[in-house]
Amino acid sequence: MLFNSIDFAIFLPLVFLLYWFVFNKSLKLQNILILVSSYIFYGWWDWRFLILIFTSSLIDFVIGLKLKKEENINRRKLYLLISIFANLGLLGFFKYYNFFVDSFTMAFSFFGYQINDYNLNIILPVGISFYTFQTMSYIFDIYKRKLEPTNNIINFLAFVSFFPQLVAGPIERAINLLPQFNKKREFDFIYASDGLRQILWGFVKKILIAENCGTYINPIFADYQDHTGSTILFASIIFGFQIYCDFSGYSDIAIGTAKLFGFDLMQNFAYPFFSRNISEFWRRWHISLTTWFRDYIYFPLGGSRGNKLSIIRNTFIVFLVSGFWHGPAWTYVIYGALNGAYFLPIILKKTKTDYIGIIAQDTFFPNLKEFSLMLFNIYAIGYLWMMFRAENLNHALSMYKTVFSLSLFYKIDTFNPKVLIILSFFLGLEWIGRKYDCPLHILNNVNIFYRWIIYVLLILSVFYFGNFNENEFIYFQF
Amino acid sequence: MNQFIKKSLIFLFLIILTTFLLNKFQSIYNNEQIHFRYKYQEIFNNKVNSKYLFLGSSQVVHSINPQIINLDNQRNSYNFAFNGANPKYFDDFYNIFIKQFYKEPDVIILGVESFLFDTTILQNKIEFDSEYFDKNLMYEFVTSNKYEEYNLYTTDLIINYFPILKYRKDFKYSLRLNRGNPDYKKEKYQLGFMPYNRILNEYSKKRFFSNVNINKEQVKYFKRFLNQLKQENKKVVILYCPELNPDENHFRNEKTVKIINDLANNYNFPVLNYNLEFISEINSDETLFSDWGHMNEKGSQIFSKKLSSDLKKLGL
Repeated sequence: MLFNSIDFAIFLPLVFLLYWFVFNKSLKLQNILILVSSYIFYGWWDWRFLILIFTSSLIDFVIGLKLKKEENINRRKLYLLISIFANLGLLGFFKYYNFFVDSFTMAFSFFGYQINDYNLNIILPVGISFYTFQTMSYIFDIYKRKLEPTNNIINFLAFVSFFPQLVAGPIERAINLLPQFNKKREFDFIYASDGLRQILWGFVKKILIAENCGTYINPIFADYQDHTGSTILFASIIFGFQIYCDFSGYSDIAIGTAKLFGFDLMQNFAYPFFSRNISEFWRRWHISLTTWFRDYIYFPLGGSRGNKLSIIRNTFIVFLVSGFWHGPAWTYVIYGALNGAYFLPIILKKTKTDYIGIIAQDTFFPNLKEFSLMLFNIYAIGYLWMMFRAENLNHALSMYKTVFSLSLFYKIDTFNPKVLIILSFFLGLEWIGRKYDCPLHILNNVNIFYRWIIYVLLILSVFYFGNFNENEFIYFQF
Repeated sequence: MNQFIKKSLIFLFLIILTTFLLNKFQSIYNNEQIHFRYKYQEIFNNKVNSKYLFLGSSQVVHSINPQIINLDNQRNSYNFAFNGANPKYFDDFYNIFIKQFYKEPDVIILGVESFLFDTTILQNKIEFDSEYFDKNLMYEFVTSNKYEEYNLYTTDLIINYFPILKYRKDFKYSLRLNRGNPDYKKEKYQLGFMPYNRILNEYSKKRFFSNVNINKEQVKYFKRFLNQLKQENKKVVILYCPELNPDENHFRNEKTVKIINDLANNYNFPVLNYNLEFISEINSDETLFSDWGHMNEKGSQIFSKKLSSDLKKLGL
C-alpha cells in the first residue's frame, strides 16, 4: 500500500479510529491492532511477503531469547552468526542473487569460459533491506548487552512490521522503538497535530517537489546523448533534490503517522542540502542508515581510532557496503566508493573542521563563507548523483564523458522554470524552518486562522501543481 | 482527543467547502469546449429532435453549419460532431446517447479523415465528456454493469465529472475569468456548429504531423459501426471535409483512406471526398481556413451551401 494512494487514505483513519476508540482500553489489544494492520499494509503488495517478514522476525525473536540465557561466549557468537547468516542470507538471496550470478558469468566469460545462466525470476520484497537491518540491530544490541530481549512475541512482531516505517524506514533501533510498545500510549493533541503537519509536509515534498523534479529530469537521463554536459550535471543536481524530497517526504509521512499513534520515530533527514561539507552531509542524510553503519560496521572496525590509513580503510568499507546496500548494481558500489573518496581531503587534513550545529544558527542568513560552502557541496555531490541515477555502468561512464567535456561550459539546453520556482519556494521554507525537525512546526505559535490558511494553500499547491502518477517512492526499490 | 477530532472535522469541512467552491469556479471559468455542453444538452433535452445527423471530429464541428444545410430541402439536421472523435467515440456516442436518449436518426453524414484511425491525433473518449452527463446516467455508469460492453474506465468517468479534477492543470486559464475557450464564442453556436476563427500563419497552413498510424482497434470499431448502421437501414454518407491545399497523392494512397473507401463501397455508402473527387477552388482559398484542416466561419458558410446542394443530388 502506497502512502500516496486512496487505499492508504481509507486505511489510516480506520486504523486510527479503532486504535484510539475501540482498542484503547488495553495496551495488548492496541499492539495486536498495530500488528494486524501492519501485516495488512505490507500484505497489500503481495501476501507472500508476509511469510518472509514473519520468518525473519521469528528467527531473531528466538535468537534474542537464546542470547539472553546463554553465557558461553562461543555459543553466543554462534547464535549471533546464525542470525547474521539468516538475515543476510534472505536479503542476499532476494536482492542480490541475480547480481552475483551475472557478475560471475561476466567474470568467467572475461576469461573465455561460458557458463550457464542460472538467473531466477525472484521478486524483491518491498522494504526487505530496511526491516532486515532493523532486526539485525536488535540482535547486535542484545549480543553487546545493551538491550534486554523481549519475550512478548506480539510486541516484537509489531516492532519489526510497524507499518509507518516498515518499507522505507527510518530504520529504528530496538532500544528506541521496542520500549514504546511496552508503554501505554496516551493521546496527545499537540503531538498528533505535529504528526498531521509532518504528514502534510511529506506529501508536499513527494507530490509537489519530487514528482515535478522527476518529470523534468527523466527525459534528460533517458536521452542524455542529446544533451550538453552542463545539462546533465544540472539534471544530476536536481535529481539529488528529487531523491531527497522523495525519501525524506516518505520519512516525514512515516514519522507523522507514527505520532498519530503515540510513537516517536527518529529523525531521518536534517536538511542535508544546508551542509557545509561531505561529512556534515552524511550526518544529515538518511540518518537511520548512516548511524547503523557507523555503530555496527565503522566503530567495530576501529572507527576514527588508529592511523589515517585505517580510518581511510574503515571509511571506504562503510561506503562500499552502504553503496551495495542500495542495490545489486556496480553503479551503487562505485557511488559508495566515490563518496569515500570525497572524504579523503577531510581525513587527510591536519586540522579537522566539524560542522556540528545547524548552519547560520544565530543569524537568519548564512555568511558568505557558509553560503559558498553550501553551494559547493551541492555542486560537488551533483557529480555523485549521476552514478547513482545511471541505469548501468555504461550509461554512467557515457554521462561522465559528456560532463567532463567542453560541453560542461555550454548553456543548459533544457530548462524548466516551473521546477526551479517550486524548488526555490521549497528550499526557502526549509531554510526558515531549519531549526525544527519539520519546517511546518514553526507554525505552532501562529494564530489558528493564518495557520489553517497556510495548510489550505499548501494542500491546493500540491493539488494544482503536483504530479499524481501514484509513483512508488524511489527508496522502495532498495 | 475530542478536541482533535472536532478540529480535524472542521478542517476537513473547510477543505470540502474550498473544493466545492473551486469546482464551481472552474465549471464556469474553465477552458472548456462550450459546444460539447450544448450538444449533450440537446441529447438529454431533445429540443431540436433531429433525424438528420452529422457525426465526426473537429473538421465537421467547424465546417458544417446545420442552419445553412436546413435552409435547403427543409431538413432538420444537427451537428453532433465532437473535436478529437475517433471511431470508438462515434460508436459509443451513437449507442449510448443517440439510441437511448435521442430520436432514431434516418440520415447520418459521417465525417472522416485520412488519419481517422490514429489515436495520437484523434484522442477523445466518451469518458472525457462525463462532465456533461446527466446525474442518473453517471450513477448508472459507476454502479451498474449496464454499459460494461463499452469498456469505459470508471476512474476517467469520475475524474472528468468534476471540473476541479478535469481542469486541474488548466487552473491558470480559469484565472483569466473567460467563460470557455477563447477560440469559441458561445453566441455563435448553432445546432451543434461552432465556428473556429483564427488567423492563418505559415505554421498552421501545414499539417503538424507527417506519419499516420493505424490503430487496429479503431478500425474494428469503425467496421462495427458501419455494419450496425447498415443493419439498421440508415442512409449514410461518408464525408471528407475540405482541407487547405490537400495532397492528392495522400488522399489516393494513404492506407486509412483505402480502408474507409473499401468499407464504404462494401456497404454501398456514397463517399463525398472534398479533397479528391470533389476538390474545388474552396481548397485553395486561404481566406476560408483557420488552419490546414479547419475551415473558418466564412469557409463553413460556403462549404455548407455546397454540401447541402451535393446532398440534395444524392436524394438526401
